[in-house]
Amino acid sequence: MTQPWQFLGYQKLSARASQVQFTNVWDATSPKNRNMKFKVVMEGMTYNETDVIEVGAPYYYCYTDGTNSSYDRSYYQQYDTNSGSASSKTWSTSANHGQSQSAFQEQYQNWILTKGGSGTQRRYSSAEDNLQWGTYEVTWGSQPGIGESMQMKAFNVVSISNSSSGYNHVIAGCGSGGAASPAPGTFYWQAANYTFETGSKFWMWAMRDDNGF
Amino acid sequence: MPLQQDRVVRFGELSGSDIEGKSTVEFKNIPTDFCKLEIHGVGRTLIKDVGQGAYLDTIHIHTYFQGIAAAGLAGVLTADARRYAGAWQYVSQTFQQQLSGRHILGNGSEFTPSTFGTDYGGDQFLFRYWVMEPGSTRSKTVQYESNFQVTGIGPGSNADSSQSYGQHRIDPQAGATGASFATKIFDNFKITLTGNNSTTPHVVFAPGSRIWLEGWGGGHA
Repeated sequence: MTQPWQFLGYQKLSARASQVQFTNVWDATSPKNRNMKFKVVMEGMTYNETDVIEVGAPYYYCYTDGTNSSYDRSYYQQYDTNSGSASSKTWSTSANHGQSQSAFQEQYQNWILTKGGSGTQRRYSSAEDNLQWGTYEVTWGSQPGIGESMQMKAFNVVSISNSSSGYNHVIAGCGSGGAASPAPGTFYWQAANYTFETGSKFWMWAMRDDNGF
Repeated sequence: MPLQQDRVVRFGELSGSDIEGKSTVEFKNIPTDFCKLEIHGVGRTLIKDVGQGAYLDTIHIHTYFQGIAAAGLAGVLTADARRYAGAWQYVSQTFQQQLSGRHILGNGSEFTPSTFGTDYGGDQFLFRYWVMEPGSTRSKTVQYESNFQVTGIGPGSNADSSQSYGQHRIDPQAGATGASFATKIFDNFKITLTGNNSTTPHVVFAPGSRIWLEGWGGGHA
């Protein structure tokens, strides 16, 4: 029997940061906690005109044990209309997203919040309330001695051009057949080639997933 | 604004006669002291036969902000990625601005010649909308995901399914309308089902449908 979702924590960045952590969210060594599920929401933004670059664009990833341990599988699909070619990517288990994957992350070089071509670039502003917000939702499940699983959905802002939607979309999932996170569990958001902008917000909820405690 | 609940609270369910046979449902004066407001729906759709002769119809969900139709509202942007008709890929649905504020739920095939409720099963849906910090005055985005499945009952008998992920957003920089509505607190949510060639009400919620709200709490201003 599951227990109700409960709020764990909230962070709003007062300065740019490349990493955001939620620490001590779960103690895998304590049998009373048993299986857990977590839901994490991030709202990130861009306000810099140059963020629309595509080459070498930033990306982010998240992991739970601080060591970038490998996941057995990760599947993702991203839809990208910003490049002008309206390319679509299918569910994939490429070399970068197979057993050698070092963390749960979006496709390399594509942080879909910031990506955009010159014709469909994001609107930007210096005022926080005018900033472009992209939201991400991650569900993380952990079972002591069994492993972990994660799913991520991205909901992203559209471009300023209504006739050519610059929408990007990714849903991804991965799982680990290996050891679960060491205790105490920590959830990491990590930005690469970029930072989380000031004002970015992060929430976390948890739910006990069985009644064996 | 202080937050009152650290737990998830479920409230405001519409079911039975509150929703059956209706195309439009609306929640007013929704509490806004949550980190996240979710609007969940599960049930069935029925297409009322208005003599158009079609075997199926494309069912849209129109989303309203503050009770105002978002379709055609200046500053509303919609991004939708949809997988449908058995395809393996999600395809971006590019809408012109006048069509923003809505997305395709799926292709329904269950018609009701006279009354509804005499059959069962077909054209089932579930959806979820959510908005962060509905009580804030910053610009709002409304995320959504929906799943629609045709089970082959009804004259259309079209084996189709559809899944969508997307976002409605009011751009605060998109003219006076956008600036005016983007920063309002989010205390009203309204949706309407329509078909492609609709005579309103043309597509309705069938018996067994229900929609409810969830407030996800969180301890911050």
